[in-house]
Amino acid sequence: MNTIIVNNELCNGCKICFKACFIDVIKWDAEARRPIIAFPEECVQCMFCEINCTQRALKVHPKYDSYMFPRENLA
Amino acid sequence: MSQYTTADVLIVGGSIAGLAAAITAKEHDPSLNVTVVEKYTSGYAGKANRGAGVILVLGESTPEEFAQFYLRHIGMYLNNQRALLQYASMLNSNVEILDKWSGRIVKDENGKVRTSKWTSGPVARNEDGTLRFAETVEYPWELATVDLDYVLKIYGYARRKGVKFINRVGMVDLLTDDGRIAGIVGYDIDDGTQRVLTAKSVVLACGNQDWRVSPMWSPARGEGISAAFRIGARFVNCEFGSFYNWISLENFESEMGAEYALYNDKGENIGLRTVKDVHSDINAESLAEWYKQTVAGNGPMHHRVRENPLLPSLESMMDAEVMRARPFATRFWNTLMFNAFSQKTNDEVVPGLVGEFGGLWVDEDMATTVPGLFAAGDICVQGSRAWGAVAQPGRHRGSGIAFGTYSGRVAGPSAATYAAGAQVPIAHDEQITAIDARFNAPLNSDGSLKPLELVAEIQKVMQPVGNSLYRHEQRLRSALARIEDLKALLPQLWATDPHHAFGANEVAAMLLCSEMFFKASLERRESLGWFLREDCPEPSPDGPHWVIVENEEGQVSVSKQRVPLEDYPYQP
Ligand SMILES: Cc1cc2nc3c(=O)[nH]c(=O)nc-3n(C[C@H](O)[C@H](O)[C@H](O)COP(=O)(O)OP(=O)(O)OC[C@H]3O[C@@H](n4cnc5c(N)ncnc54)[C@H](O)[C@@H]3O)c2cc1C
Ligand code: SF4
Ligand code: SF4
Repeated sequence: MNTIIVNNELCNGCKICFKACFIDVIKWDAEARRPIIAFPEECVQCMFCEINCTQRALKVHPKYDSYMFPRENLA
Repeated sequence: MSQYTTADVLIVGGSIAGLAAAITAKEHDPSLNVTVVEKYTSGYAGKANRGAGVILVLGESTPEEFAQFYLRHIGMYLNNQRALLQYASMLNSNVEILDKWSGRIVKDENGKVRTSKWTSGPVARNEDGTLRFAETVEYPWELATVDLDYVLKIYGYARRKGVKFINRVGMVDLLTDDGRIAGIVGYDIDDGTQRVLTAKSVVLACGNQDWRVSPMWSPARGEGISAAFRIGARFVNCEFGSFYNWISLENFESEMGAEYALYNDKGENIGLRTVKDVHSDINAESLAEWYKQTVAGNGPMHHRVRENPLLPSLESMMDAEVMRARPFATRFWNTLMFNAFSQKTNDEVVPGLVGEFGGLWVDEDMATTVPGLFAAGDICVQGSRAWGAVAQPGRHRGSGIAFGTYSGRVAGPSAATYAAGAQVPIAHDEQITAIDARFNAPLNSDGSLKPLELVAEIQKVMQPVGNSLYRHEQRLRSALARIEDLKALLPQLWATDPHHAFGANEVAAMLLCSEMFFKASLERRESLGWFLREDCPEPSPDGPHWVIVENEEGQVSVSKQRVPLEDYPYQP
């Protein structure tokens, strides 16, 4: 599973990472004004949350060998 | 609790095709309420901003030259030639209009759109082992480039023009009133609130079906396709929705041009033998050759990158000047490539299913067979029949953005014209109640199957090259039987929140698309263009025909329709 870490000190609550995710991995905590990494097992390492964060407060570490892919059913 | 909203023109999906439709609908008739419903957040959502950002243009060629080349070498006359010519005639203006909306098209120092030529195809190997190119092949197209924040800029443009947006609401079904479109039912993906949106016309621009196999194609889960099927829309060319990229299993990134430098484990070049005289891009035969070699025990297959003749041309398309002009795309690709190559240790390549299954039938006005329902973008690429016997991107890269922009520009004014002349439709309560029961069933279920568990099983049927590309009646029948078995498991799906309720809706859509794909594949008993059958290696003696897929009392039914060549300007 990919690891997505948020540095809550650097984060300014701009919500962009939440908007940037195209498959709903990231939810939003309205009270704390911080992202919630709700479904990291579905992350497809597109990196849009990380590269759109102006505060460099979020990092994605892909783990390709656990990516959901039917490796045994190629041919 | 439900929330009701009305619009004149409702666009489902806020990526490139949806935005193009919304802007042009609003421009066509500024008095109309044009609303976009997007499952995630428009501007960031969709696939259009996560790709290479190359866009097909004609350059100096004429639409007629493009169409004739295309019919002969790519579409195999399985095209709606009127749609093909219309698409070709709008390719250059697409780029001008994208620049007007976003300001992000790469231009030269004189302000002219910068384009590059597609490389000539290698045809054979010289005695010294170097590749010989067919230098005389002049492809009748060029490629422009765009920075990848363009979709966000276009979103801003659309808002300034008065287009309304409802983000984080996913459509799950379409409403009808006396046979014509009446709106949609969607749900808030965060809190699950039901949203009923009535509209005089609807444009489906919510992407195609890619079965979540290739990472970057993951948002395309076919919910628009299944919703259209449920209200009786027609589909066509569904058997062409199985594109594969050459990929590494270590990072799933695409390895373009691998077929030119493809070796089996014995060190024999197995790619070049499948390269045809005119070879604009990946052909199905090289993927089939991978399959034959693998079955014969000659795997794994290797991509000798240094021998890949496409690399110089790919690099020139993305040279330093283009990189400077595309700061966002450069950051994006640098990050992706750093990750991908830091975890890559070997040169094995495999065909990775991309899919691009988008067979929603549309005419030249982008109208589906349901009155008031229009479509644009990936959802109707095969359905428009503009491209013929090919999978998307169909051996002419840069065509996804081109088709999305073109079809959005056609669908927007068509949907606006329809809405201007239509009565306000009625949203019928019994339809809304039935949709609610279907969508919420997994939340009330006592099953224990999670959507992702079923996705994994569907992928095992869709990915194999022997099922979805190099097909055979026997394999198709067992794939279809497995899909039927998986369909029987749908009532066991279990969800605890809106995210997983959507997951269940997506799984149902994946299974429906698989069924349409395999049934249409069984009906096409020939090999033609991208479509290959091991048991029917030749084109059909009956000539070009389309396989139509329709909803007959809830069942997927298929039939054949001859391509009306006599109505078209060009003959085989
Ligand atoms: C990695 C990659 C590289 C590519 N490179 C290129 C390239 O260089 N050049 C090129 O021309 N093409 C390229 N393509 C193809 C191109 O991105 C697509 O053809 C194009 O994005 C299609 O646009 P679309 O608007 O039809 O669909 P999409 O971009 O897929 O957008 C569909 C939209 O609908 C939304 N949606 C989905 N379901 C629902 C629902 N139920 N309710 C509401 N909204 C919904 C989605 O969130 C999304 O915003 C690439 C694709 C990928 C993935
Ligand atoms: S984009 Fe960065 S700063 Fe903004 S909310 Fe996310 S982590 Fe915080
Ligand atoms: S990398 Fe992409 S898929 Fe993963 S959380 Fe970030 S935006 Fe979402």
